[in-house]
Order: sequence, then structure tokens, then C-alpha cells
Amino acid sequence: MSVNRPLDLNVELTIFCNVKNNLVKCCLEEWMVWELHMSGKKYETRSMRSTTCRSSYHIDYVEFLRYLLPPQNLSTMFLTRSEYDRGVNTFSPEGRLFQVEYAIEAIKLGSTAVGIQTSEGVVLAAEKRVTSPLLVSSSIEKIMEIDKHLGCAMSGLTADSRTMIDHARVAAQSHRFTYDEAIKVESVTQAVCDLALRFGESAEGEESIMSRPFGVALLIAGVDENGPQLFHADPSGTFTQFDAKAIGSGSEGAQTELEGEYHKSITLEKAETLSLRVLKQVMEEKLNNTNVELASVTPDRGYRIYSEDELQSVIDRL
Amino acid sequence: MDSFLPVQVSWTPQTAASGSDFYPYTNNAGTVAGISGGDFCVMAADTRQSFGVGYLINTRYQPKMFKLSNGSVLGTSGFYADGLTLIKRINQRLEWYKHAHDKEMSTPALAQLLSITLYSKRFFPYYARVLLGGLDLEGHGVVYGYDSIGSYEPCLARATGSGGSLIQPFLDNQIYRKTPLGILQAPHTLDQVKAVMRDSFTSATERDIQTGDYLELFIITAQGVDVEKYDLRKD
Repeated sequence: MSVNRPLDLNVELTIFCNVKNNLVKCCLEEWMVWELHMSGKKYETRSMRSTTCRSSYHIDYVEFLRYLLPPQNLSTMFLTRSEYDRGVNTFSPEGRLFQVEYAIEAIKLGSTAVGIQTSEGVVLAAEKRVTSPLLVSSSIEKIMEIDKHLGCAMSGLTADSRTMIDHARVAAQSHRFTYDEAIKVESVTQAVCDLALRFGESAEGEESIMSRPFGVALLIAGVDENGPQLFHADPSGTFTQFDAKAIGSGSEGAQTELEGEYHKSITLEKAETLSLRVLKQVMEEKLNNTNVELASVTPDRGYRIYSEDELQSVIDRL
Repeated sequence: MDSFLPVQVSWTPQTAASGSDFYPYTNNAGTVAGISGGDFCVMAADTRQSFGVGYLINTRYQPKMFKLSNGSVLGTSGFYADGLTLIKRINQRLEWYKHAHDKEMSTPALAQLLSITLYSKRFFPYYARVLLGGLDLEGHGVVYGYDSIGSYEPCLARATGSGGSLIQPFLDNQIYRKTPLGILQAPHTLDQVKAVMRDSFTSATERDIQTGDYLELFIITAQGVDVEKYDLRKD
């Protein structure tokens, strides 16, 4: 089948990962999806949930390229981008680090997590994707304790978060050992972000810990002398403070919802229900006390993850 | 406490041949004391710097107490060069902390940092007897007493250095009010504490040859650190 439409590959096609079993995961513009459907071929094997105009699909790699491109264009197709996304520490001529940008994309595939800061404390809520009724949902952990005054919710490649949370815990304990005081929320976030760009070849004296950027974003919640605070840390090592923030696949819708509903005088109780309400709206499954996690960090009780019973009582308030 | 410090080995031809007469410390001595009050802390030290335990005086005025950037005061006696190095290291750590955490280090935090800094040289210690004075997070006066390798405790009143053993019992009586009837602690005013300090050093100067010349008082309050200077015997 020939292609009538000229392709600007820089804009329209992003290949996430290497070809595996002849399948590739691609970001497609809507018109491409439409044309794929119209071609009558079943390239699409599994649809991923999408929040933007782009959609992610697993499709037959060879067939897809044949569909998109005249044969002579096949070799030039990758020159535009792959020269600069092979080395993780190589800037493209436009000044971009593609691997870092792809890592940020990877978070948009993760389950949704929400954080809300109030004057009484911070609430963290996270969706757990229970993909099978045989899956033990308590084995999925999306919210973790860093220190007794610090908690953390994650989205993306959660395996990567182990390294980061380990580092955060060491930083928090080391601060207690050195200064006999609790570390500030911002300081522990900074410590985590210091890790984020330590991938690829290491500089002199600095040990590299990863061969690629982290594929996980963190919401770090805590209470210190500046009161309850919420920080967002992403794979580029940037961190930002938020009143309320959503990450993961449903983040766009969730963030819009938070922007509409959040106000400075929100109570902790209202923040609990708001966080679950927002999750409920973006989750595919029906929300219950086993497919979400809820935790809070308050000045009095510190970090606390809610039991299934406590979770149920919050759900009942919805 | 003194048993923690290396003992000077006397010189013999045998030790000289083996090189074990290397002794990198000297004791410039002097006395440091601190008393904490409800909303103040008074640190005091004489300014004489001696050479060893003989009758040699290097200088009559070399302050051994230092105001730190976070408003605490650190007093050192013993080997002056080690004390000076310790102060430099601590000042550097205060600066780093300020940049890393965007706040001044509190006195209790500094107390812990000082402890691990001393312990990090467990097997080649700073030959310094230190006292740290300041205000805690609630604004109450605090004095931390140390041994040379980092054991520390907060105290109401503490004296250390060559005249420390002369002054401490006096402070136990005057400040802790330790009597046969039990401990009768009573709050002291700043003026009372200053008077106790001056008496302590006047008496210590009478008996300790390494203490004398001038007395410096560092008075730490929420408003800052005031320094007062008084004469002591110069013989």
C-alpha cells in the first residue's frame, strides 16, 4: 500500500523502545491511527490509554514501516533522531536530551498518583492497576515511607523508584545522624534529584548508578519547620513545589480537576475525599479499597498509610 | 576523661631510634566555662596562651572562644592549633549547611555535628577540650560539654581546660546548687551568672598557672552576642 501523505517524522513518530517480537510501541497522531484503521489491517494489538492527542500502540513494526514509507526512505527515517538518542548524555543540535524526554514520556504510561497539600498535612493517593483477579493487590506498593515525617507516591517504572527511595531514606537518616534533626522536605527532594542526572558515563570521582535516566516521577510529601509541603520530582532532576499535583497516565484530567477543586483553606478530610474523587474519575476500573492507596503526612502523626478499613470509610464519604 | 588523650612518651635513645618519640601535640591550655540561663547563655574563657606545662607564656591575649555564623559560641582549650582547625572545619560545615538547607544550623544540630566531627578523628584526636554555647530551638540557653572524641551532653554549667577542675565544683555549688540536702536548682539572672563567672575565673587564676591575663565573656541572647572583657591577674 502506498502512502500519499508526506511524513514529518520528527513530529509524528516517536519510537519508545527497540523492536521486540516484531512489535514496537509507537506514539501516533490521530490521523495515522485513522489511516491504520482505514487500511483494513489489524496492526493494532493493544491500545494503551491516552490523555493527549497522541496515542500509544503496539503495532507490527515491519508492516507499519512498509505502510508509512517508500522503501528508499526506510534508512533515512532513523537518521533524524536516532543519532542523538543513542547516547544518553548527548545533546541534539536543537539542544535536547532525547533519553530524558522519553523518560518523562514513560511516566505518562504509569498509574495515576495524586498529592494534595493542606494546612493540616499532605495527602497522597495512588491508583493500583490490578490486572488480574488473581493478583494480590497488597503486593503493589505505590506509596512509601521515606522517614517518619516524609512520604512518597510514584508513577512510571516503579522499579526505578527503589533506587531513589533508598537514596532518600539514606539522606534522611544521614541527616538525623549528622545533625540530630529531621531533614527538610525540600532537602530530601533535592537529594533525590541529585541522583536523576547521574546516568551514563560518570564524571571523575562521581559514581554513575544507572545507564539510563530514571523512568519514574515522585510526589514527595512531608512536614517540617515550614509546615506541610508537596514536591514533584521528575526524571530530568527538576523539582517543583505544588499545592496539588497529579502524575501518571491520568494526570492531565486529574490536574485539571484539582485546579478546579483546590482551595487554600481545604481541610485534610476534604483533601482525602478530593484525592480519591479525582482518581475515581481517571481510573478505568471501579475504585475500591484494594485498588487505591491513600496516605497522609501530618505534624502530629507523621507519615501514615491508610488501612483497608480506613480507606473504605473515606470511600464511603465520597 | 583525660585518659582518652595520648600520653607523652619520655625521650630515651631507644624511643628516638625507633621514631616513637614523635609527639604531635602541645598543650596551650587555658580555661573555658559556660552557663546556660532561661533565655541566655554565658560563655567565658581566659586569654592566656601558654607553651606546655612550664612557665612559658606565648601570648597574654589570644582569644580561644569564637562566635560562629549561626550565633553559637565555641570555646576551645588544649592544643590551640587543633582548636583553630576544628573551628575552621565547623565554620565550613555551617556554610555548606546554609547553602544546602537554606537556613542557619541550630545550636542543637551543631552540637551533634561537633560530636561526630570529633569522633571522626577517634584515633588521632583533636587535642581540644571544647564547650559549645547558644540558644536552643525554643530560645532557652544551652551549653554542651564534650570530651576530646565527641561524647557530649547538654548541661546547665560546665567548665573545662586547665582550670576546669577548679571551677566545675564551684559551678556545681553556685548554679546546680548541689548540696547535702539535694539539688536545689533556682533560675539565675544574667547579672548573677556574670558575677559567678568572674568569681570563678578570678579564683582559678589564683591557683592555675595556665589561666590568667584577661577574661572574655560572650553573652548570647536572642538579640545576638555581646562580648565583655575583664582583667585577670597577669603573674
